[in-house]
Amino acid sequence: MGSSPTIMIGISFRDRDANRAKATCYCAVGLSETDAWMLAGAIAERMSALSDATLTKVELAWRYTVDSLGTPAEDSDISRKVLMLVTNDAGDINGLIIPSPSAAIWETTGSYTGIRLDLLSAGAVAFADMLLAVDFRTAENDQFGTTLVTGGLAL
Amino acid sequence: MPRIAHVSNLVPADPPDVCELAVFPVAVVPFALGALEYRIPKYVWADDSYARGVQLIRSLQMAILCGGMKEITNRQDELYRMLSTAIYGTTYELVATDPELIVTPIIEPTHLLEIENDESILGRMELMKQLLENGINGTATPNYDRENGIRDLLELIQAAIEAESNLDPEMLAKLAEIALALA
Repeated sequence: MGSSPTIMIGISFRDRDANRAKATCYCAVGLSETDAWMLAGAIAERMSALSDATLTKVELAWRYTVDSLGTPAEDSDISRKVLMLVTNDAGDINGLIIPSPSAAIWETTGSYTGIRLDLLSAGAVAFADMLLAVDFRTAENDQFGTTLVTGGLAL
Repeated sequence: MPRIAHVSNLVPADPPDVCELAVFPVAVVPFALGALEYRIPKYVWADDSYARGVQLIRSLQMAILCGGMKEITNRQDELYRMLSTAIYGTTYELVATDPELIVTPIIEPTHLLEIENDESILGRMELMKQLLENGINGTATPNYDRENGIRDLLELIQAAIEAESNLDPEMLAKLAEIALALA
């Protein structure tokens, strides 16, 4: 991972027309989680006092960037994405977008060739295993899901 | 380039959700998935509509990825071929299964009333018809050509009995009755 990790503090506002904007600032990653939240809350309070928009959200993100970048594959293209659809115990369907999917993950036979995720591909199997191993959550802190049902190319 | 309008405060229709089948080219699936993703962010929906709205969008994405129409139409074709084989004796050959199921001969809009195999329902009925025609009347058919039918044999028996001196009139009358019934 990266050598200069930081904690990103995102502070979002909404105006009368429901337009949204986010102010972003950073602090050192060495802060504890509690201290980082306290800092973010203090900054949000000060910003809010300077703005007549409504404070809607405060985000903290521990950010790491990769030091030694590999060379992207020749056919890598982040405008191509794979949408993974997962169901949780409540029967909700949740989705996750992964950019620039590898050609090896698609079905190679049938009418969905090159479009639908091959659930038996190594990548899909590993992803499905991960869903079972981690408590993946949605933005609303609901269970994301444990069953990878399908996936497909999204353009 | 078309202008993309900023969409917000969407409110989906209330349940119950009526479902319909749709036929679509698979090639459009990536674009449909991508376009539907623009309806996933929370700000697109009215505050109390987000959970339901997103689930509706996700269910449509799943539906177009899971397909199913091809399987249904393939099953219909399989049912047709089963009936065609059973009724007419049509023999089908599996040419390919990938990427599309190809079976020959193709299914025509109409089917000729033509027996293709004697083991089919119509083929067996035709054999039974020929058997009856030949058996009762002695009519020569493609599959049965016995010279004398039951009627002929009864007439011969009747004639033989009549040639005898000690006739039983009652038995003779019954034989004539049977021969008449088979006419």
